[in-house]
Amino acid sequence: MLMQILVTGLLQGVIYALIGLGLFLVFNVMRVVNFAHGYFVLIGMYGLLWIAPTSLPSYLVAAMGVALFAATFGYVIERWLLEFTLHKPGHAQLVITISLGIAMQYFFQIKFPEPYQTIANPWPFSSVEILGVSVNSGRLMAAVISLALTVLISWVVYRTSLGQNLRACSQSLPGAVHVGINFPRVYRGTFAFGAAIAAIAGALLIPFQPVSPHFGLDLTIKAFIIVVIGGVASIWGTVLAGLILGLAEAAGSTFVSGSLTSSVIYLLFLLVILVRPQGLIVRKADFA
Amino acid sequence: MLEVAEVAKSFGGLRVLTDVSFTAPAGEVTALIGPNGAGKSTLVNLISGYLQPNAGRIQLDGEELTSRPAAKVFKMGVSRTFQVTGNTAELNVFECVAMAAYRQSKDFSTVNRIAEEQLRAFGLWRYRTRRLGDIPTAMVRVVDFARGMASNPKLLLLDEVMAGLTPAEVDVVIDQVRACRDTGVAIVMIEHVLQAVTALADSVVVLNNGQIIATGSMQDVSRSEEVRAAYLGRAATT
Amino acid sequence: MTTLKALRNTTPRQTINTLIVVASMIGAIVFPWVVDPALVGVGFIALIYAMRNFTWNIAGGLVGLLSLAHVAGFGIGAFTVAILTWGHGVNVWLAILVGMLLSGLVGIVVSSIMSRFGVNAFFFALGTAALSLAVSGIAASWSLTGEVDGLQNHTSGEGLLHLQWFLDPKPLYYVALILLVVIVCFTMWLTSRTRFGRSLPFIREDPDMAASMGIDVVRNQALTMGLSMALTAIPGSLIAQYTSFVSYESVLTLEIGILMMVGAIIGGSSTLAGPIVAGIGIAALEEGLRAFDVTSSSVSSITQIIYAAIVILILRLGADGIVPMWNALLDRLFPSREHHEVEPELESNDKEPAHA
Repeated sequence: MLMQILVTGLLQGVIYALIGLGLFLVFNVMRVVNFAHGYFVLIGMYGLLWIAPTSLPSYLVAAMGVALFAATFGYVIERWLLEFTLHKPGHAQLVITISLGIAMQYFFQIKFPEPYQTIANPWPFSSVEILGVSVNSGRLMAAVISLALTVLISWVVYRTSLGQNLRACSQSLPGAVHVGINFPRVYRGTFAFGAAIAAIAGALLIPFQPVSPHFGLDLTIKAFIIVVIGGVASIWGTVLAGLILGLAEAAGSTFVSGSLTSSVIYLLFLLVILVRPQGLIVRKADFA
Repeated sequence: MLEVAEVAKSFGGLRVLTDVSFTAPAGEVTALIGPNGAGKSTLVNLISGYLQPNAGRIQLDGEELTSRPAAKVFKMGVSRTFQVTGNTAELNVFECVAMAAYRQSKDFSTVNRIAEEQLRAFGLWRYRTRRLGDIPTAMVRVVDFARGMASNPKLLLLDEVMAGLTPAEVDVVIDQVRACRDTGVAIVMIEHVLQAVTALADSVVVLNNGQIIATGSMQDVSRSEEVRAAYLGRAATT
Repeated sequence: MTTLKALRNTTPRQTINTLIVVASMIGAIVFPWVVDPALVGVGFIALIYAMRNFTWNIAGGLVGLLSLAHVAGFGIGAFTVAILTWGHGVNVWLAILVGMLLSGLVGIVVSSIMSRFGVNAFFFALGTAALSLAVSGIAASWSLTGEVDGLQNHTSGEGLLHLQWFLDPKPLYYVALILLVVIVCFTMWLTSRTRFGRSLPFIREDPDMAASMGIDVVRNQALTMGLSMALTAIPGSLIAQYTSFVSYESVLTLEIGILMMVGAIIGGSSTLAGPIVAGIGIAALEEGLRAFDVTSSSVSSITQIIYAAIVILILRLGADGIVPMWNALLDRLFPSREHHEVEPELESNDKEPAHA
């Protein structure tokens, strides 16, 4: 029982971490609170559902394809709908991203009326035994790839000049402008990148996770939970928070019904917001 | 009477005010002058309950104002104007003044009558239906003054209400300050318009680098070498 | 009273808008008698949407609390009627009152806690969204609320006392209309005649300045949130009586909460009329789409997409919503004479002796 919780929780948690990471970057670099983030995951899920790859190579190509599409979509959204709200008071940003999410949700609802579909498992094996727990190959590979991507992203952020630009914009925008960083481009790039990561996570989820349009909202809130709990100090806080969420969900669903588990998680999240509202907004130490 | 005793305030490591003490008697105008960054606005924020001092006490007619929230300070009789009114563009002129009048009465028509009197007295009646964002910025501060008066305060804090007014408008406001003073209100004004300071101030408090460097009548302080060096020498050119 | 008269200088815009309000009131009253009986239900739904948006806007527009907790209030209103009246035979009007009290209490508590911890607008939205999701999850797994299957109305009482008519939708339509008018009149009275109501714009625009004008910001925010959510329970109760069925999916999804917010903003959250206009608009839109022979499940999806697109467009263009845009148009077409009238007054004013 315990092993079951531990294994499924951690595997799910790694994917959550990847989803949270996209939101974390967007928030930290741009100060944009993106309520549509979870719907970018749906782009990946429904994208693959629509392409319906039958072999491993076609699956991988399709995953790259949806990521590219999501990046383009994110770029356009940032350019046309969000750029004008930056550094401006008011709630336009919040309402725009929420509405965008809702529009996407109902678009998927119309386009894919059949709920809870998955694609055929693209991996050449069906399940493996880990620590006495049988794990679906899709779930395992999704976790492995998510972990690899997380490490790759943190390497980019902390070790490359591209990442240096991101961190500069995050720490002090005037400073970044001063040293000649073209911040609108960094912003667009970051948002596109965040969307692409989300879509990849979606592509990894779809072989074993039946999809439904209302997942977008759930995933958005979950991504926020991760970012708020993880704090803004470093990428690793986000990753850790993702794992905690995965474990909490696995533990919860073992003991009580699914919807009650999420209720408990949401209430805990409310508590976190109250106890440390500075988590998202005021930065003690930037991710440096 | 307002009594400020040994008040100190710092933000992080930055000391903005050190050991500031002065009194502003009822029925007199006390002008608070000093170069930019001297800590005048911080002092006003401390008195009005916006900020809390790190040390010292502030009392009004013997009642403690220190560590009271802004709403409470207002109810005790302290009214203030604002230097920056950036995000209040949507507010209605009449409502601004009427809201403050609720300190005097709970009655709807009384409150409106007080607001009307004040707006007429300040020559603002023609703006009554406008939004603050639609009237000249200089006039927004006069609305603020009228708002302060409508609450029938014991102490009125005027934060640069004359900036940007034409000399004729300054005269109207000067008349209003006098009328207000004569009703026994203690007035503390931060002011750069020397015409107004000379005409109105019963006493002057000069702040520099967060400390009081001189107090007294306008003539007294303008004779002080330290004040000349710190303030008047530069202000005379502006 | 002279003050009031002087304030009420009627501009052409006010005259036109008053005429529109009177015309639409007459229209709303005769509506059930001149249209096809099937459309009376559409009218009822339109009133519910209008009421939902309007009551959201009391907190969202007047005080600027971007709340997503209101759907919890809507759901509480529906479920209270379902549990108390359908399940335990309590009079429906009493149940509605209980629902309002519960919902209002949630609003007051949420707002107080959020202010206590100094939560900003984004966190307010996020936190209230989490609350609604939590409440929704509880409703979906609690036997009292019928779990995922929901609750059915099997009561047989008919008439105003039972707020139930089996064949004719007209009475329920009029009940909704009267309640909407009462709520609107109450809000108008509150915002124009009471100190509490008049303080709300100050809290929205600048809480710090409001505090220095003697306004108890935290208390007034909490009371507004409570009032707003209590009133949101009313359309929840009415829709429950109308459909005779309540489940977490029909009244407690976060999407409904978002729609309230979006609807109020589309109509113009700075105005009282805006949220109502938008509510009636979306009901008309839904009905219009049905006429195009779209399948019923797609109708609501398409309207939601259109709704979202409109709000994004309005925000992108920097506009304030339909009603403010309409007002600006009227002002441009019929410039007010106000400026010419008041110039002489200025001169007489300056000569007046300073008031003592």
